[in-house]
Amino acid sequence: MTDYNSNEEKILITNAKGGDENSFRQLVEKYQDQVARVVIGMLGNSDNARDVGQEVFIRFYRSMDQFKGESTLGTYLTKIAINLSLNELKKIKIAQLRIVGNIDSINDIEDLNQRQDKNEIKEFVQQAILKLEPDFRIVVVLRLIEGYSTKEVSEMLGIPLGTVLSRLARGQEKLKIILMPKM
Amino acid sequence: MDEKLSDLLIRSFDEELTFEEQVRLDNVLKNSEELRSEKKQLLLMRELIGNNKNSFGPNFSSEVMARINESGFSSGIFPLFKKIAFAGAASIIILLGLHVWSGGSLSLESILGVESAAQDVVTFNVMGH
Repeated sequence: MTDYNSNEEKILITNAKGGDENSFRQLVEKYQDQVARVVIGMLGNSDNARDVGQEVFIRFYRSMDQFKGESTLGTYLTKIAINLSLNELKKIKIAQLRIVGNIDSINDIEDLNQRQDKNEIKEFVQQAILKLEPDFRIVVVLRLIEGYSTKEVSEMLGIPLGTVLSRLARGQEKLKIILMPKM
Repeated sequence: MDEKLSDLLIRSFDEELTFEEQVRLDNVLKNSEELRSEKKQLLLMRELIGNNKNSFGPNFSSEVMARINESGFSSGIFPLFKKIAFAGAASIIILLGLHVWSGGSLSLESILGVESAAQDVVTFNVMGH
């Protein structure tokens, strides 16, 4: 989770609202990794994810006047990223089924501790996360990757804390079944 | 492994257990090598997931800026255009309402003022005779 650097960031936002392209670019650079973790966590590392990531910032650019700083910019962008990712998942349901089909083949992959390549491990974990239902996946991404508290996740998604906790527990149960035999 | 214990263990990472649940979990952890091992694996799993830091790679911000510039800076003008368009449309509706209220008809001729112009022409012709 990116910290909210109030003064510097407020100046950038004010300047960007005033049409300063360079300030807006700095905001993009500051938050692109945070947005990437959410979007790629939800959609996998694909061109689609990159397009959605760009769309997050374009939406922000167009609605900058509505951003009053009531939440941190990181949280605001994360919410946009969640909504766009969920929309994208609906659009590409067929493609998603194809991805899930590919994930089934990960049972044939060698054990994690035999893997030397960190990128392979990362990809393996990513594929395991993609195997979760979107409702579980988003909770896992926000809590375990982004590090938001369960209360923050509940507020962001607009669902009760108990639901977040049960989805988180069930999500981890599923991940345990996928990942633990390889650990 | 008792499923309830496993569930308790998973929950303990993200929520505050009740006093009784915490005591129960602590006791079993003390005595069960299997549960301790599962705890280690779960921690490793959470670490692996937490380290799953993705990025869009280089040039991302340039691509965003290019897309904004494409569709672009005109989108900054669009809200202004929208406001003017709405104000114009509202004015037209109010004027039409006033026109009807004052007893006028809603025909195209009357709206454009052509009806009265035509009458003027007729009057002129009669006088010309």
